Amino acid sequence: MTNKTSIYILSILVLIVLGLSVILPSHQLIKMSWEGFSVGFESGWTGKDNMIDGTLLPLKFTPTTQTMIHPTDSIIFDDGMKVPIVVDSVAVLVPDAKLPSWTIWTMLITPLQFCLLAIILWKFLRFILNVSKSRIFVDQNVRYLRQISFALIAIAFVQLIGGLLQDYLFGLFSFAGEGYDISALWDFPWSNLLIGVVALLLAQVWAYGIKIKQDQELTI
Amino acid sequence: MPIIVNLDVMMAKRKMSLGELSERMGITPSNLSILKTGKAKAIRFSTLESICSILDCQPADILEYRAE
Repeated sequence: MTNKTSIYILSILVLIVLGLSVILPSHQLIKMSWEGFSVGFESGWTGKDNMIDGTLLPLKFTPTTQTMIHPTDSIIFDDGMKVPIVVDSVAVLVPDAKLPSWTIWTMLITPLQFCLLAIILWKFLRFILNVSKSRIFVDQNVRYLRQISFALIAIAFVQLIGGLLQDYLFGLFSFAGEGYDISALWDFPWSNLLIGVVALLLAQVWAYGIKIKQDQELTI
Repeated sequence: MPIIVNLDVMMAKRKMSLGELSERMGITPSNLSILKTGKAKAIRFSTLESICSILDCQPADILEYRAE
């Protein structure tokens, strides 16, 4: 297999993984919503009921040792068998009336992430296009790699801000859960930050490679 | 760069054109032009040997150090 072929295959693989990472969670969300509405209609919901206008605040439920040993909640299987469950996370629909007015800005976080993701995808495609034309060690590719890394680091910061906002919102309300320690559900975006820094390092190595190539070309 | 390439001076002394020198050295005129105009970043010993041999000169006749 030639170098070019393996680059093509790896690029397609990256695009597939990137596509699946967007499509699969969206598909799952649509499926869950659809199933939820179906169950609602079956149980007599007409769609005209008053729905609470609110914002979903994801919460992390950490069970206490007592709850782990003797779970208080349970679900029933199709055959009627009752089994205990331990809750890991929940989403609380906080009524908008209870939220500070500025929280509307938090809705910008997801579109902002999608915009940055679109920039990454676009720059990656341009980079691969350059490589396919055998324009590998050129300044333009260093620029693309730097832009990709900055976008990845920006995504990490956007996620961090989103997480801190969730922490703040969590602090506004006091949630009580018997047998659980409750906290805002978010993790520090290590993976995005790490990939961003690695991409930045790659860009610097690329720039060094260009310098070596130019020196080589100007050696008579 | 403080290293000055005096190839053009030596070529003029020997009354040799760029095309003729490049042909005798077996390199392209454009590559020799890079060296002649001082754009080159490095020169191989083999290239220097070839130039000195054809122009019948010493490396110091081709290269000169001038402090900036």
